[in-house]
Amino acid sequence: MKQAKAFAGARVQPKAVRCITNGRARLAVSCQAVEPKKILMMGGTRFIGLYLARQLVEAGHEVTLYTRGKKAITSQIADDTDWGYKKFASSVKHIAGDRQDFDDVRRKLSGSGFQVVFDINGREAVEAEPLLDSLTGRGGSLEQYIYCSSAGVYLKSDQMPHREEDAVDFKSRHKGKLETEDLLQRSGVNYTSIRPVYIYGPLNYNPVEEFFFHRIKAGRPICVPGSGMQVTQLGHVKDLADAFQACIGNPNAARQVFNISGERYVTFDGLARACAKAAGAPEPEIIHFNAKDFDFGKKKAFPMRDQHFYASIDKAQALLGWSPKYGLIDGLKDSYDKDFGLGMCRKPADFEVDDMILSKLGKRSYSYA
Amino acid sequence: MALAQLGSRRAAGVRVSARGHAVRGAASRRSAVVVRADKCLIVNTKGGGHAFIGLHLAKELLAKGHDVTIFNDGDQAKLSAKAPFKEYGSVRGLKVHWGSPVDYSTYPEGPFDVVYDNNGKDLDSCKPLIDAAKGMCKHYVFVASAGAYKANNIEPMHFEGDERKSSAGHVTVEKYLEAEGLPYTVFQPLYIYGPHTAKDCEQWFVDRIIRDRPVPIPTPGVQLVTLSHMLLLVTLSHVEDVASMLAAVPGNSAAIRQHYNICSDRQISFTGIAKAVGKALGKEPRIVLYSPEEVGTGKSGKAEGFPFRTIHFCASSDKAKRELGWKPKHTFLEDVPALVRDYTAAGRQHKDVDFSVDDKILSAMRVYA
Repeated sequence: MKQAKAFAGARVQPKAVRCITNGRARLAVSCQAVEPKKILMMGGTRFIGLYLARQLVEAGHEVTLYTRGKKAITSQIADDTDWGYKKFASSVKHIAGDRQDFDDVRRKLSGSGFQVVFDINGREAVEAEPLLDSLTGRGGSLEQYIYCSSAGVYLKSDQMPHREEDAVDFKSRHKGKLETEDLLQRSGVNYTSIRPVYIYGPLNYNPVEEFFFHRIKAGRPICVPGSGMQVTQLGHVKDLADAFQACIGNPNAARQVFNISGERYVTFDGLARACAKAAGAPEPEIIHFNAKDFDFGKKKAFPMRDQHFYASIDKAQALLGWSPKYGLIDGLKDSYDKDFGLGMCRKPADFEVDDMILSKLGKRSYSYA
Repeated sequence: MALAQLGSRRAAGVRVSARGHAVRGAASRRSAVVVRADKCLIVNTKGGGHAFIGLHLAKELLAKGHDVTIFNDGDQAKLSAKAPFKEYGSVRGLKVHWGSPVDYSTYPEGPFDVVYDNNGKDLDSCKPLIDAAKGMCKHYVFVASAGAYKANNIEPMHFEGDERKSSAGHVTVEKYLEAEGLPYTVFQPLYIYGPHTAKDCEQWFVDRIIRDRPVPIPTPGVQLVTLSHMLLLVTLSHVEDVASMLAAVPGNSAAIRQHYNICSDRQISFTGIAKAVGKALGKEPRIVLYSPEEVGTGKSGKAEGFPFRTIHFCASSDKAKRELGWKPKHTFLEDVPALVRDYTAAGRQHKDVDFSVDDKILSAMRVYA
């Protein structure tokens, strides 16, 4: 066959095109030169704030943590170098107070000159009011109010992922966050609301990865409710800190809501496998059970809501110039290597629920220890 | 049709029509778009879920001012009375040509600037066209399939660059395109719905709900005791969104040697589809969950009589959004009422449907229609 004559047409010189590889590596938050700000962080000693405060100080901002002071204002963490921690500990400032004492908050913050607020631990709208009262209005210094909300505000839907424009659920247990977002919006302040999904990483106090690591370490099977095909999403705490930081002085962040989490979604079964990989353990045995067949009392059988729960991050990627640095297994490995794999945990292992499930399903409980 | 003998014609560098203008954007792939009238060839398949892509793509390209020929595989006498082919006559300016893409003697007159292969699935069916197009076209578009992705037991969403099945015919074709140095772009669609389709998608659900029959929905192969209401997610994309992404190619040299998933940015569960169709019909769907393995109608991701595979089947189209400036206009949920109207307007509720597999499943589940 005279192939060249099939179309009897012209010969075109193929242009040399630059082959741009299908690189998934993306620039993380670029260190844009943002002028130093006087920053107030509500909280900052537990999880998200630990990382965010360090990043902000390193970027040259003046950071003040507002906490009750029950916990040490600073303590060295696995990610710190000795020198870096010394610098951080000597730079970061503190206001001791109870944010639930609204008059006290107003007194302490009036005329304080804070330009940016990171409200990491606010749950109810009333908690944000004294901050707005004292920092905005005539002579107010506040330029931005950046709020840590939650993707838990979205109304459960058959169509996923959750996108920022989707319906929210004013009856959910996160309604306080919604009411805070609403207040911020009505107040006219330049606010940004960040909605994370499940956050994980070293020092996580929520038993997300901890649940799996306990069982993997004990050589126990992992009991997953339902089919294990529920789809969810984890976001590394350091990526979340990057996203918060990317909001400062960013006009695209003004009066916007952003979902922040990892780029890839994961099934419940997949998460069990991913944690095992991160821990350098063999593929775990996964046992499925029907939660309706059991009464676990007050104990939770599984750390995640039994439904599809994940959100699109493409708005933040497009508008904030942010993208997560961690993939799931890398991120879980980071959490394992710096925290849970070192024998630390927030809640000790409790396999009572597992044993109930295993015995009812006729499987013996065993341990490879 | 005899091969046309044309004198050799050298294509000049960038041809710009009276309407053409260069579009410069940010330093991204989008800055490589040059708008001009191209001579486009769409080689179209004779059946299956992709058959109607040619029709909608032709409309998009014609609307952009391009010259479009559809070269349809198959027997004109048999096919031109069927959807989608019967619509070709009503598209103004569309040149239609019937023949066989593996038989050069049936080829239309060239040359063509852009060639779309919406027909071949393996090297045997694609090679003749590729060989003919080499050296002739400025851009070769292969409409492959996201079905080539390997199922991942941790992260269910497919991204470009993820591992694919080595046996997939499409992958062999891509390797050939690469080896032969064609300026190619590969698109990977998922399930497609919309007007004039040759293959049912959501209609399967309407068939049952409109007749007040139970809707048997397969769960992932788990034991009956652990049936979960939380089911598999699929991405359903409107053919117009598929067509608009394909039509973004002419003139966009930065898309060369790239792969793009073409799909909606939303996923929906099987029960979600049933509920949405029920809502549009004002009926409560009677959903019956079953395990194909248990009932003996399938295994390993297949369920006899069901229009979708029984695995999560979703992909991310974020790359196309970022690099091609493409945005989907449709979501399946919003389209359901119109799809149901199309069904009833065509009188399909009065047509006979083969429910023998349903009956087999329902009797195994002891449910009565």
